[in-house]
Amino acid sequence: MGVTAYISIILNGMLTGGVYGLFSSAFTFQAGALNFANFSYGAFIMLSMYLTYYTIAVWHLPVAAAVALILLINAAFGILLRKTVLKTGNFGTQILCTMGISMIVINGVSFFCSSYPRDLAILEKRLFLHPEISIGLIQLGCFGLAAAILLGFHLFLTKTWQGIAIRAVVQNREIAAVFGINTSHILDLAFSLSCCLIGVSGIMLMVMFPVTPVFGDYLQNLAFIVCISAGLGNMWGAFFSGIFIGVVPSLIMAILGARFQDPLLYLLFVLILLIRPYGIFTKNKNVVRAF
Amino acid sequence: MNLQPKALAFVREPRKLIGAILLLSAVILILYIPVTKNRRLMTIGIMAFMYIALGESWNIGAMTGLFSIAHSAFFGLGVYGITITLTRFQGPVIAGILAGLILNIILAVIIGGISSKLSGLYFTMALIGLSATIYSLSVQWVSLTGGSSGISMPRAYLLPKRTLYFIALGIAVLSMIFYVFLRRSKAGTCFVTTRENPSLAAALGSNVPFWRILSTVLSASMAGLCGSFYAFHLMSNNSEVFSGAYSLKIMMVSIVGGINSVWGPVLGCLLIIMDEYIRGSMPSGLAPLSVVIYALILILMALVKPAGLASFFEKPGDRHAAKN
Amino acid sequence: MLLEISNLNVILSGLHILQDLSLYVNQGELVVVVGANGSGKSTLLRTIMGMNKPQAGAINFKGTQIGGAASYTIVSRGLCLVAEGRQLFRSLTARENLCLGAYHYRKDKKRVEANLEKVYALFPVLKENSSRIASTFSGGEQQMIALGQGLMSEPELMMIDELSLGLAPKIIETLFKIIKELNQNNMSILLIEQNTRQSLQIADRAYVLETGRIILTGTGKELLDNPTVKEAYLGL
Repeated sequence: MGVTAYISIILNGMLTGGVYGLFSSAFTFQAGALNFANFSYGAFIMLSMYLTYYTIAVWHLPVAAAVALILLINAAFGILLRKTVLKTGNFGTQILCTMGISMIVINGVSFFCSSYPRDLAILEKRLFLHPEISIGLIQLGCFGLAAAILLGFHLFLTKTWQGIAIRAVVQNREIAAVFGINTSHILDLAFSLSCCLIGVSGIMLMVMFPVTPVFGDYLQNLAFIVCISAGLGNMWGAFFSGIFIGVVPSLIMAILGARFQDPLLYLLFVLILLIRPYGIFTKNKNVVRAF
Repeated sequence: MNLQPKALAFVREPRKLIGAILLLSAVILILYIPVTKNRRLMTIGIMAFMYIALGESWNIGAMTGLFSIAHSAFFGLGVYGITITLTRFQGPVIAGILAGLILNIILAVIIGGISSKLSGLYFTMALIGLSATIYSLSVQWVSLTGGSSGISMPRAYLLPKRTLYFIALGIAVLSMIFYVFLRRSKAGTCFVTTRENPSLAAALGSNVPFWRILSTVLSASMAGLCGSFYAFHLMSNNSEVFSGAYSLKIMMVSIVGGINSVWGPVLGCLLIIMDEYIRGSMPSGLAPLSVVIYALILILMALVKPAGLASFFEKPGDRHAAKN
Repeated sequence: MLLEISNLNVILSGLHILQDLSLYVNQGELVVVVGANGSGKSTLLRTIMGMNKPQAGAINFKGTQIGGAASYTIVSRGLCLVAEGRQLFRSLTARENLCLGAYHYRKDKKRVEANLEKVYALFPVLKENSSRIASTFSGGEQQMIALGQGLMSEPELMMIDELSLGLAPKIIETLFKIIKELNQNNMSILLIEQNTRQSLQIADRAYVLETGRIILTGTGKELLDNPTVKEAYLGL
């Protein structure tokens, strides 16, 4: 393959990776900051994708209403999870319950929608940087949107009272309460926001890819790989790792053929966990986790 | 097992007496079913017995605190081990079973080794990574595994339902006996001390990493044997045996039933029986709903009665998340 | 009486930590509670602040019962806690830490800015380094941030847990001076200390807490001259 083809793959992979980075950031926020091992993550991205498909292509709702509906459903589930599963704080319970929820969502969707792939089939417009190198305009738009949303979230966490309160509660719940922060409400807010990010990611992914009920599992595994590589809790790191991971599978597929890209990727993941579980670029090696 | 003193205890305590009566009725039912020649009942029985054995195998891993969320990996290696040996290599049955065992032992040693290096979320993710590797290999290595549509066992190995029923019953009983034997042995005590207080156990001279690996190996081998049996039952197997659905079912049997008791998986298999009944009575399009039902039960149990799960992660113990 | 505690009983993990404890703080007073490690001093403040629920007894602040109230409802009444061990939000900046003290009236930006300037005037080193992460400050400076945080919440009664623990003598002296000054400017203070001598020297009144019970009370000077105190706590 020519150099231009590789450049194309890399560029387009990076753009798609922006969305991976977005939902990975939200996952690392939940896992690292909120101490929540959420194994129903992928299922909810998948659910959001299906909802996007149905609201836009089948029920023909106006886009704003569709987006609002999806965000609302995700936020509601977030609060439900917090009230039930997070209350126990027990790690084993969290895994089991969220895996169970994931099964329920996946099978529920299978039941109601059957398993054949759904695709919004939006006509792709391409931007040509060079006669042989093009990037998808949709991908570009989604990348820009993902980066903007993440930036917005970052600004929220650093410049607003609620954002600073969230960071305070995450670090020291008791003292936060001493200064008048209603920790329960703040955690609800933080959780709902990260769940809304799930919804937004789902919408963007639906615009770019077809969906099946098991697509969520694949995305969840990607999120794990991204977040571990970047170090749990590192949101910007997860974003950039996500961009990276948008490229790697496509590159492997281009170089080695489609045969063993997945097993290699997962093996790489296990290796990272064994060698540098605190993150490839994290300087702080002595991380004693709460888990 | 000396039953004499226990028999007297049964009579004195009402709860144990009821338990004994239920057990007796279950035994009668179990022995009666093959007489009826009802294929559906026998199939349900086969699945129940197999899940009892799988549940016992999960509990053996649980003795050292192994929260095996990808137990289907061991199970599936047993299934594929024998199926591939019989079809691709035309080997004898024994070779097939051995192949499954060897693969499982290798995987179990790896996992046991990892568990001394990682804990909590990181260890769980490592399990997921390994099982995802195996799953995707089984899907993509089409020449060996037949891809996602899988491979079938040769017709010559088709066994009558009655035979399968009794083999499954034998496996279930043997697994229970093995669990009790293991639990009461010195190894069993070492397993549990490893879970409860690894630093103390290590300080007292117990070889903690070895016990972890050993229990994982035993757990994996047992699950693998169940898998080899399953190959004969289903005759046509695909990558789904590595899926999370099977892992969840196994966990449900163990956790809902009770992790620390030999009777736990027996109680847990009641859910399997319920699931098989429902799935058999419904049109196949409704099959996903049965998964929803037992997932809901699992969640409810986990939330309402977390005591069984707490023993895994209550003490952070000495396993740090990352050892340099 | 600003704060009145009557017959407070607190049991934690099966241990009867505070037994029939009664004390009070009047408007404008600097009250000190001294006691050895494990006598229940921190538990006392934590219970007042709502982190533990008392099994029996009453906590009355400005005429309202606050025993058992949720932590986050208490600061807006005018009561604040500077917790022991300089418990700050370690990865937030000094400025963010201070501003969090003002959380319960955050909507009034002018008030927040005004109070922030007052705290900066008291602790100039914080103004110079306001965007540094809290964990990078020295022990004494961290205690200043913690005090500043408390001051930002505009308390009528400031409760301080172990001001001097782990700090160098010179810094302890400075901090005690600042506490005394704050009190002279009409801030009521309830100070919990292991450093008996220096705290009794600035106290209006004091209590001695031993294994969950008040065994002595009096003015600061009276207790300094008290033979039991001298022997057990001052090493004389």
